[in-house]
Amino acid sequence: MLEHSSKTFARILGQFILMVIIIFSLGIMAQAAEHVVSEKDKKFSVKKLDIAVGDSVKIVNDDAVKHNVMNLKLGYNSGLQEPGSSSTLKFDKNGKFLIRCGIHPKMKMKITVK
Amino acid sequence: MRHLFVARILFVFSLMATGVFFSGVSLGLQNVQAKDTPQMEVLKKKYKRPAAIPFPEENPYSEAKAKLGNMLFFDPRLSKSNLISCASCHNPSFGWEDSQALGSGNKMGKLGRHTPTILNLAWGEVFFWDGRAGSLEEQALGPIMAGAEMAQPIDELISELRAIPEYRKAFSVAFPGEGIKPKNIAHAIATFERTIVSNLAPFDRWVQGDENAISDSAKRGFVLFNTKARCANCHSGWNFTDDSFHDIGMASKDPGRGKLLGGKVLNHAFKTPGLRNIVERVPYMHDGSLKNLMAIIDHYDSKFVRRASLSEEIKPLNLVQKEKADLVAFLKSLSSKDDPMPIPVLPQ
Repeated sequence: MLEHSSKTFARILGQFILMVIIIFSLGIMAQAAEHVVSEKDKKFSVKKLDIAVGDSVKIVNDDAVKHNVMNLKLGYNSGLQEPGSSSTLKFDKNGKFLIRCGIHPKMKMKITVK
Repeated sequence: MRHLFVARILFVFSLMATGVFFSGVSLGLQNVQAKDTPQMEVLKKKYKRPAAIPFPEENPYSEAKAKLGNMLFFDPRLSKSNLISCASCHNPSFGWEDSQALGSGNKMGKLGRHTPTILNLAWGEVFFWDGRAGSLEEQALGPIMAGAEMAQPIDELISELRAIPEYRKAFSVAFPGEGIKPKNIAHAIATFERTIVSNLAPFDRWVQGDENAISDSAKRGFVLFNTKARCANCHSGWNFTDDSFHDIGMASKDPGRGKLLGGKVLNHAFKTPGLRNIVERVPYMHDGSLKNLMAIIDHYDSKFVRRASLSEEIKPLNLVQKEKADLVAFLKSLSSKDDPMPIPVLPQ
């Protein structure tokens, strides 16, 4: 009798731990969001973006011309973005970052990471 | 009777000749009218001067900051040798440049590029010929610390400034509770620089409605600038720059902005400078290799280097001599009589 109930207990405990792990992982995945920004008419679709640490920003070239997104301080350089291509930047620390197109410097957006 | 007949024929003939003459004039100057057409008014509107100087949120204007920045800009003690100030190269007497092809730095060593102006930079986006600085604040400490330029280690500079009571006071007024630190030096200099704006030029008075402000040649030049000569494709807006980067085919190996972007993008491309007060800012281009305005026109007309990185804006123009002269007349109309810049008394 005792043997049987300790096996059941172990099974229940194992399932509980597994659930906790799954919920925890889902929790982490839910926190890291992907924000999509479009490049069109030599402008970003947003001038300002507020995101959380761990989030990423996907920059899509919906324009007719090539772009090249950069932030020298972050060491970020998307390289030449042909129309239709995209580039993703992940933000692992908080702060305020100005992202510019290296080819069209008037094209810029401020990303605030909290 | 016969005399009357001949007189009448001559009269009619002279009327016809006058008619032909005037229609010929209007056809020949179809783009330029003695009085402005609606199209000309639309074009002029693109060049209207802004109402106020923009200052960024991160570094708003204050008189104390501008005054401190003015002192720092003219203070040669910001250099290792104590002989070179920002104003040594960015000299108000030469349109805030230095009238040399290439700048000079520490121990009179020659630098790699021509000294750019600081006129109208409040409206700029990125700075240096290759745009590597994202703000005036970022730019300001660069030449101060660069070994080839003012060669001043920043810690030594802070100590030197701290030893001067009037600077301690000026910093505490401009940046209460913050003291003398690199960020504040940069913020003060940047604030001063933003106040350096070209006065009204004859071109501006014409845009505002004074038909006699510039010559007909300059007016024709303005039209060419915006049409056949393709200048406005890059030299656009009231300050005559798109703040962007283009390889204009100078015979120089300098990679320009291409170096920052990994070599395949914007190779040999340099920032479009503004054109206000261009007469005072001779010589021209990133390497100072063009000695006068006509040389610039000739370069864009046909003398540019053809290569893969050449901007698609650059094409042969087929300008005739009169058109080139009109363009030069227009460029000359962009010179304002700027107020003489007083040299600040520097504290000991």
